[in-house]
Amino acid sequence: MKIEWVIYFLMAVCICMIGFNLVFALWERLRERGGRWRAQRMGEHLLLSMRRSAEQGMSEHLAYLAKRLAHLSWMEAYDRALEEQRERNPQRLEDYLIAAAPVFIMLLPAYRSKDDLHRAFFANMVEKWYRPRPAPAELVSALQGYTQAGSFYLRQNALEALAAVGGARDLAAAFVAMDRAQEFHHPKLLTEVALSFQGDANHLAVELVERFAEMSPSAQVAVMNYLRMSGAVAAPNGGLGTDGRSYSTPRAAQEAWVIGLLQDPAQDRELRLACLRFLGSHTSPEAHPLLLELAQERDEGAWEFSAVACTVLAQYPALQTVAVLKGCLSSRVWYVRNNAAASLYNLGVSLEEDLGDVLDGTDAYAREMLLYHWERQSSTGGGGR
Amino acid sequence: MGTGIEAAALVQGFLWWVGVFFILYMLGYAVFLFLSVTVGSSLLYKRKREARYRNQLTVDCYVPVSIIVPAHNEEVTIVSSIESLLQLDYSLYEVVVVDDGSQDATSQRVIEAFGLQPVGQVMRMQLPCQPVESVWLGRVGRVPVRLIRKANGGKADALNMGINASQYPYFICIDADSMLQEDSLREITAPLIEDEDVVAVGGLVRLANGVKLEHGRVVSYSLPKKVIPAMQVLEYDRSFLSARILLDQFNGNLIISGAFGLFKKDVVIAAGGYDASTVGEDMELVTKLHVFCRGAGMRYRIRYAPDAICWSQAPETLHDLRKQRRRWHRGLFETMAKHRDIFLKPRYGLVGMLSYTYFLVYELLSPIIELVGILTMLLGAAFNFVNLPFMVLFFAIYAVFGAVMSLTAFFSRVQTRDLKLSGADILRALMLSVIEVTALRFVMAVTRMGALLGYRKHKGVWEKASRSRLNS
Repeated sequence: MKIEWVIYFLMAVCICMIGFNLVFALWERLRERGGRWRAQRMGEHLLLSMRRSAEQGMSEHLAYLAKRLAHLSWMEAYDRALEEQRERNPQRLEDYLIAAAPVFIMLLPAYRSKDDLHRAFFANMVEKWYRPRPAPAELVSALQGYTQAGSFYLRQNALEALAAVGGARDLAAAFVAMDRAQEFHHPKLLTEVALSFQGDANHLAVELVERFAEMSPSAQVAVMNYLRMSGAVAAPNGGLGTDGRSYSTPRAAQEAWVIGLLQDPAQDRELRLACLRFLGSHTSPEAHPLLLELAQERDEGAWEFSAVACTVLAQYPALQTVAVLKGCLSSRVWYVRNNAAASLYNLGVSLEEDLGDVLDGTDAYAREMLLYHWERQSSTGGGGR
Repeated sequence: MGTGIEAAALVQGFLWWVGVFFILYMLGYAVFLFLSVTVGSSLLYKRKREARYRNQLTVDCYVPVSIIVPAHNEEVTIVSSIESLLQLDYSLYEVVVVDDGSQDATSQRVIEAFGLQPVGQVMRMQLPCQPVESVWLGRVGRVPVRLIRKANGGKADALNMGINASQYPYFICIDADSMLQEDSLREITAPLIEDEDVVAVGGLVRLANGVKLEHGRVVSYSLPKKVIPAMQVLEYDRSFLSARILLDQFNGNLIISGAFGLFKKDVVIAAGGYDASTVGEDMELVTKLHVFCRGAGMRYRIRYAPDAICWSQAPETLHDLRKQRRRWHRGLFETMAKHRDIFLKPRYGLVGMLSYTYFLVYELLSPIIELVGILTMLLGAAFNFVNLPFMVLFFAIYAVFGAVMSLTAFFSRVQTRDLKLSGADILRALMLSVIEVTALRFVMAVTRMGALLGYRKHKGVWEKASRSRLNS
């Protein structure tokens, strides 16, 4: 190979890159200018239709939108125009959005063949601007289809849109379908989406719990966390629980179901820990003996159950609780000692009167941990005791 | 007469082989540079388009994070650094400051500024480090602030102490003179939400010289006025931003900058934590994580998040810059030597085959190779075997190539972050890009060569540049 070719190659690459930089800078400038022009035109069009929608109908405007909004740049301009009207005339905009809602259905065929980026933006626009509730089946079905896509952002935007415009059954079905598609979607995101559901939280809880057995452990953890954080009440078998017994209240059936899951060693470890945390937020007298037992678990492989149980026990004030937590201060596991000391503080136990025996005892680790938590709470504004 | 001809033939033969080697070497680098700049720029443009059309995570889904700030004689910057950390747009995090045996008033400044109180020394010592002297605790708003005073043991030792003292499952290490952008925690934790196998995420370190920041947001941007930091801006975009994006495509990054990186605590502890015997503890940890995770057969990802931004001060004088680069090169050498077993080993995949090879040939050995090349040219010129005009043309083209790559990376970043540059700054960038790839690169090659030659003398020495408060 002649060395000249290397020089030609380097020069060619340089010219291409310089060309790329210049073309891109020009493109950006033109795109910005075009964006402003489109936003202005769309704004004028929108304002006109908002003024005349009541007396003249929307068909012409909807046809205009259906043609334009198949392109991302016009969709973006529409979004900007709507944002502007939300600032200026929110009530009138709401009336307009109800009248203009059919455009999203009209756009479905156009977006069916688009790539994930387009569809994710479309789902986001549905979440922000689609008003009728419940949304029609074709829109819900499209969003449910999006939740099984390969793109993480499309799945997430579609889920958020479903939580905004769909029904409880639709969202629960999407959870199950996504789970079956085996695309990883973080349980925290599923919980957050469920918490953002705009319909009846109890209804969603019922739908999720009814389909609980169809889900993977990861999705089950997400549902259990949703139940814990939302406070929604539901139990399998229409509130009868898995054992078929009838309970005095739906809450009692739910607690019995959660306790059952926690006690079942065949269940996933993370799910059982999520059940444990649920019982910390929603106390159940029936769970107390089990919690005491778990806190005293000394199997090295099960230390997480012991540590979480120690934290949860802060919500179960009783002499027996204090006695067990004091015992946990001598655990070999640092986290168990730490959580037990924190719970004793949170239970309002007196350091000198109730824990004097530990302070005067021979276990230096237990003593240090207690003193640390009392000092810590006073230094971070918890107040000394 | 005959001996002279034989010697000349020998030199000519030697020069021919050297020439072949250098052509391949420079072509290899040109290809890497081209790939990294094109892949890096494309990804930045793609991310901009995705953000524009709301293909981004917006829900409040937080991973609890401990921010560890190792500090040694940082009384000038420490309070403003912590204040900036307390203004981050994130709901669940704590700040752990580790005073690594400072002789100045670092601890006093922190205690007084944030009203910390002494507490007991209860810690789970999972990683070895120098003993604790005292622990101080307080809360500023919703953020717990913890100060650990300990005997001096170096930055890695301080980070290990910070890991022991932290209470959350993920930790971020940052330099005491750095400032995180307001949304940086949200951005650096996003990969953890997107992919369950992520064990570490590197953020983008950008130079704060010339930038005005208010409450962690950029309010005005320009190239630094001084030449040395301005050239580093171009160098950072070409060598760090673009190259790391390229290596990220095949999970091949061997470095997460010590100025801003996020790690999964239990994996770091299982791998043994930071190595206190090296001055390149950031690279050593990431390389060790690759070795550990692959050795254990774990599914893992080490990601790079260019949207997670940390502002750091660039050395403003050549003297300080050379100190910094000597330290970096010694750290590189120590890491490469310690983990030499992964070189070209198929079980380490592309990390051993490509990443390690790149760092060995184009980073660690590059000063030696480049200086040998220059000496060879002189030798060739002495024997009149060098076509001087052609050689000048070749190097001029090569320099222009490097400068164009730097500028492409620089303008890609500027355009994708919607930053506005003045005409004067654009002109300066054009000129400085040429000076950077010719003059500064040569000075840095000599500096890095010096770092290798003086390795034994300076082993373990942390050459520190002078600090001033960030413009916040």
